[in-house]
Amino acid sequence: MKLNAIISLLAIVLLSSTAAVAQEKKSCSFDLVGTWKAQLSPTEAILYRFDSKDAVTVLSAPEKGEPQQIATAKYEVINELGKPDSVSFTATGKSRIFGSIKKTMKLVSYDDTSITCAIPGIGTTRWTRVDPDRYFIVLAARNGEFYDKTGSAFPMVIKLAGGVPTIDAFGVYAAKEGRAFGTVPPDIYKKYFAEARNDSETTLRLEINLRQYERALKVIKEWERRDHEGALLYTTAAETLDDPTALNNILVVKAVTETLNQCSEDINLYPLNYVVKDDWITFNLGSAYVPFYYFKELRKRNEARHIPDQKFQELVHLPNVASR
Amino acid sequence: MYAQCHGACPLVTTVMKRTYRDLKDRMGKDLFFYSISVKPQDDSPAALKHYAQMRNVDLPGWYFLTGDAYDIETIRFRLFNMGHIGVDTDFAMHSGTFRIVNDATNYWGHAGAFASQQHILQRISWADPYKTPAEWDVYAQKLQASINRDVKKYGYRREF
Repeated sequence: MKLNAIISLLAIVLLSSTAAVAQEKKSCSFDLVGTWKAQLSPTEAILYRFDSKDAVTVLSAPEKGEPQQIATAKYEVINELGKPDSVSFTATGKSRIFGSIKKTMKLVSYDDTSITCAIPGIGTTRWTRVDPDRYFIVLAARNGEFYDKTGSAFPMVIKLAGGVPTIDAFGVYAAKEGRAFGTVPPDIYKKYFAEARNDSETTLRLEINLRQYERALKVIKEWERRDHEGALLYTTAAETLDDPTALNNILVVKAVTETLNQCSEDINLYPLNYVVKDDWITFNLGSAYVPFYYFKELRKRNEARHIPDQKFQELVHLPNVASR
Repeated sequence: MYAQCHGACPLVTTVMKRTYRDLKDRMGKDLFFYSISVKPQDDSPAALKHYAQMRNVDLPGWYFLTGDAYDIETIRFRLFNMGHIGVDTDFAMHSGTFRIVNDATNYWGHAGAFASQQHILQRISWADPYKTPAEWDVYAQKLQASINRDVKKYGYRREF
């Protein structure tokens, strides 16, 4: 009996996050895979196509006509102190890369859409990512849909490939039985693309880049997994003294929007940080209202980049929505 | 905690080290410490091993853990959330507590990381299995002896 008691006693002493961490620095991930363009002159450009293994194909890209292959090479990204520092190239076949058989290019800087690099004997040049697909984020919210006067609030990320949109949406939405939290079904989210009709609705539609899309999609997929596995971060009202669904939804909208600026200050974000001097929304409003006013504030701050109704409908044809 | 933390982590590790010393006879037998990295992307098992060795806390029954970021985030919220997003999403505004769990008695408690040693030990003792009347007698006698020593020395009961 005593032995049992001793064996079954499991005292876990855990330490919560105890870090005096300053504001997180901007961090851009580095991924060469894909096509990059170096604009040599208004009419002349070079394309670099990096595959996921170790090969790069160099093509001339005249203003008119098809790109022509001019060289092939093997490449390797060289890290220094755990960060990408340079890229070495070794030409394959009879071709030359940057005029040599071997060349190492120093990475000066990089962000979501471009790389600035220094090539010995050539100088500093800027490459921009070439992507045939387009990406969008839509932040939609309404007030007055539910019994407590709150409403749907969810982000949608859209990939437009070959004219066919693939849409992922997650958050609080109006289901038949009332408020629901989870993956928003297509027949629901379709109603929220349109421009806000009055003050109790808000919609912000922005074009984003591939990396921003991937990061936002990753947040949505992680929350879908949490929903399916019963691993939502806030679970019971007793634990939080607040509405756990509302708190979870704030975490979703906060993470999705803040990940857009992970690499650079691209979007004019509102500081949803619960610091009284910065954040009037969480100071004045209950948790269930926060996403609506947050989206409204983001719309105000990013009005110039908001895609108007007609243009958006031309871009994203809803009948073509691809189902996942 | 995390390996490259130079703020509160080393201080809290020192508090845990003191607690470990006081409970040494039980450590690794019926009592275990788990220090979980909140930066799993940076902290490999080797980095945490190095952290433990540097602070002389690579000890039996004290585990430094890292893992999948998704799992750690779930554990962090389930064990330490304060019901306030401003606090729960900011590593700098931590709850600063130890979680004390006994799965056999379904006891879930906590102690402030910077509370007195006596307080932390008492909180851990609350997680112990229920005592038999005979064990209570022994416990009560020890406690009374401690009180008597305090009263004799200071004129009042010092430690609660």
